[in-house]
Amino acid sequence: MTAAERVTRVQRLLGFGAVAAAVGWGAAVTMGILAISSIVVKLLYTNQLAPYWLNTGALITGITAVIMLIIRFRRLSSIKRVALWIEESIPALQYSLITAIEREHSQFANGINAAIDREDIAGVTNRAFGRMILPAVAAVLVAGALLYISQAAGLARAGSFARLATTPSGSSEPEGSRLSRISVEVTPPSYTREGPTKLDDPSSVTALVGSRIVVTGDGFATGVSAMIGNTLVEGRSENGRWIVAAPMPAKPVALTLRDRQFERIVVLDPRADSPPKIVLSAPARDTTMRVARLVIHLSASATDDIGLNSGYFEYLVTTGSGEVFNARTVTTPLVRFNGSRAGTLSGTLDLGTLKLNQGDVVSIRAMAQDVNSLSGPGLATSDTRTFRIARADEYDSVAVDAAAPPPVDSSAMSQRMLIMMTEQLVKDQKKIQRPELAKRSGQIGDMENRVKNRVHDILYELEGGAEGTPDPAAGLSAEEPSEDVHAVQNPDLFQAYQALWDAVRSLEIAEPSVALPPMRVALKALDRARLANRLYLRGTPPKVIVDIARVRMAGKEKGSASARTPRTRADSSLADLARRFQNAVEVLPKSPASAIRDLTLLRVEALSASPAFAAALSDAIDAFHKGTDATLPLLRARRALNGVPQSESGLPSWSGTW
Amino acid sequence: MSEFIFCTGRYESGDWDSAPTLPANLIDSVARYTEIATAPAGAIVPLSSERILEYPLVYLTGHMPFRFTEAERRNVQKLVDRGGMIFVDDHNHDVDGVFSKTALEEIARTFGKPADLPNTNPIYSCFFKFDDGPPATSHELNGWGDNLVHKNLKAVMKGDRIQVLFSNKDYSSEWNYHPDNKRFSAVDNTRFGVNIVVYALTR
Repeated sequence: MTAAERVTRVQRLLGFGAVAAAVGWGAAVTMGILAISSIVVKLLYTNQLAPYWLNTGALITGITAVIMLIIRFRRLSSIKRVALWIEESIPALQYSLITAIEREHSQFANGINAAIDREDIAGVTNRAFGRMILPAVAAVLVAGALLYISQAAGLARAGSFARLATTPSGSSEPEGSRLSRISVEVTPPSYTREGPTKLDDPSSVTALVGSRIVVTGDGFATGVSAMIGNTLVEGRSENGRWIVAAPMPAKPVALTLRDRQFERIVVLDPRADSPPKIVLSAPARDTTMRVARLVIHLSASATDDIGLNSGYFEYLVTTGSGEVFNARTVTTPLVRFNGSRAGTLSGTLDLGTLKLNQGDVVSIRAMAQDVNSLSGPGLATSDTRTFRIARADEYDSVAVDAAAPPPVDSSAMSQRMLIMMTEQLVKDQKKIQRPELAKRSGQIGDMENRVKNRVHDILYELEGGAEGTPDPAAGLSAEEPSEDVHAVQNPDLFQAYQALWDAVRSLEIAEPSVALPPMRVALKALDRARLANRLYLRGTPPKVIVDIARVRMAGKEKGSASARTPRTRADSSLADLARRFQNAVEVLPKSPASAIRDLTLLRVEALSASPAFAAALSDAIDAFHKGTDATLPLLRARRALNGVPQSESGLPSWSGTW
Repeated sequence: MSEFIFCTGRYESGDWDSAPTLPANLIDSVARYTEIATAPAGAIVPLSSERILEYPLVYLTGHMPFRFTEAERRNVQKLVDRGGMIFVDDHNHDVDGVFSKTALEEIARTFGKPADLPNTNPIYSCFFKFDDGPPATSHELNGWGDNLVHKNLKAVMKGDRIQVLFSNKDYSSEWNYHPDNKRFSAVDNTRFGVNIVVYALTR
């Protein structure tokens, strides 16, 4: 081997060593930066990932280090420089090596080469190579260790490498699903003042809207993703467990958890905070009065499922007539309930202070608010009671017309007079002849008959034609209401009418003593009717009967309708649920996991469209998870959608042919 | 097929009967322009009665506070769930009036918040065509009530179907006259009422 060949060999070895060392240092620098940045970010921002630009920066720094080191070893590119380095390392060569290279064909070349052969050039070279390589290798090992400590994703840990390596590497990857055992903690909104509850392995979570839902499971969060509907939810690791947290949405939605090829769906079933309920117990009914001089006692009771905040009464005063109406609203001061679930309101209203005029109406209602500070407050209103001041010109109410005696009163006076006449006749009965008795009894009977007819008119005038559906079969004829209707709706007048019948009959056959008891019964019944509660009866609107045959198709113009579009089926949502349910059930024997997934997603939509169907599906899904028989829940689900099968009694009729 | 019966809803809180001849007028118009089998007289049915569910269209109007009792609310919800339609008209023609305020509040509470109905909705073209949306009423043009000409009606929709139609235009005044007087009008102003009926029966 010539001297030049020896130096070239050394040059190649040291060149390789230089490049390897440069790459090693570059890698070490890159890993070191990643590891340190990951640790620093974790310390400063708990369990957060390092920003993406740090990875790029680390890579650039590493490449820069490689380039700088290669530049530093640029002298290895010259063979003479390498030869001089060897001469420097082995002084005994006394420049024989460089001389041999420069004067390769000299007559002393053999001697020089022999002298060179005696020196340990390989040993020097190997030591130099080791000095270049070993620190770089050590640096790579240290940086790798740091990276490991910093929980790099490449080692199935969260860290800076999570950006670079999305798939956990073989040995550190958990073997099974990290979703098989999950725990859910539900923390209701603060206004409920309730503590958190824990659920183990639920398929569905029911909670108030706005509750904080925290789902945790075994293992770190890397590779575990969560979707609420179509929204990705970031997970994090804490104490060796993955955590996904989200607020309970307002509508049912599926929380889809994924871990590599594994998937689990949890139904988030929101429960709306019910608005409070309030009942106005006093005043108990609407009233019409002539003069607005009344102090009204007001009382209401309110309840709520979470808690009540406040309540008050509202008076709406409406004035006006014809086409001009005005209204003003007055509210009483708030009564605080301080979060209790039940409360009462009470107060008084002096109508005199409202300066009401004829025709004015005061509408009173009670209102209550709950403590819902998240999506509320929920507001409850009671039924409305109205106090109306009658107009002077109103004649549609027996209560407001005190001046003229109403017809019922005049009937009652006549009846009393007739009883007195009959009693006198009974006294005179023994003194007078039969024809005289028959004549006087007949006269009283005629008058009694007029009373009876008047009562009949009142009875049918009050009851007839107030409202109702025209019976197409009856056409335009006014059919008299049945007696049963009157017996129920106006029993006193009806009883008087019946008694008067009996009295008239007895008087007409000259039996006044027999007539007296029913006459007294009639008087009492008329008195009761006269003293009964006065009710304001709105005027019956004029009844206009359209002559359909006359006006049929006699319009001045014809319509020109646009093309009609098909209607959507009123029950299209249920039909869609039924179709998807059928598909899922058909898939069940072949692919149970897929079917359960479909049923779970179906349940999310069914929660609002058909709660009974959703409840049955929930039972079925639970049965699948537990490995028990799901036939009955599935049957209930089908019936919730399609109804109970209809069966007809008896055999179908024979068609007469075979 | 049974004939169409125009139904006026009777509610407890106010003057439900403030437009007593409107039903007859619309019945006359429906018979006059369409071949729909129509009963010669309308029905007045309490909203608290389940009989209300027998009618595809229920007309409500008034000047005074409009509030449902629990039974009324339950029945009208059932009615629209089953495909019925409710037409509520503000007889005050006043967006600040007590009927409009309380009715909109009650509708929002019972059915959901009503929104402006686009003037391209099929209700404006299902029989007569109203290219500009709801026809103006003489009360609007004369400056009664809120002195506004309302560009839109309001509606609560389910899908593409109107469940509750609300009007501040005071059709209750506009159409509240005896049908025999229709012959004095050059243009029949109840034509939009025909559209409402046709829409309720066909959508």
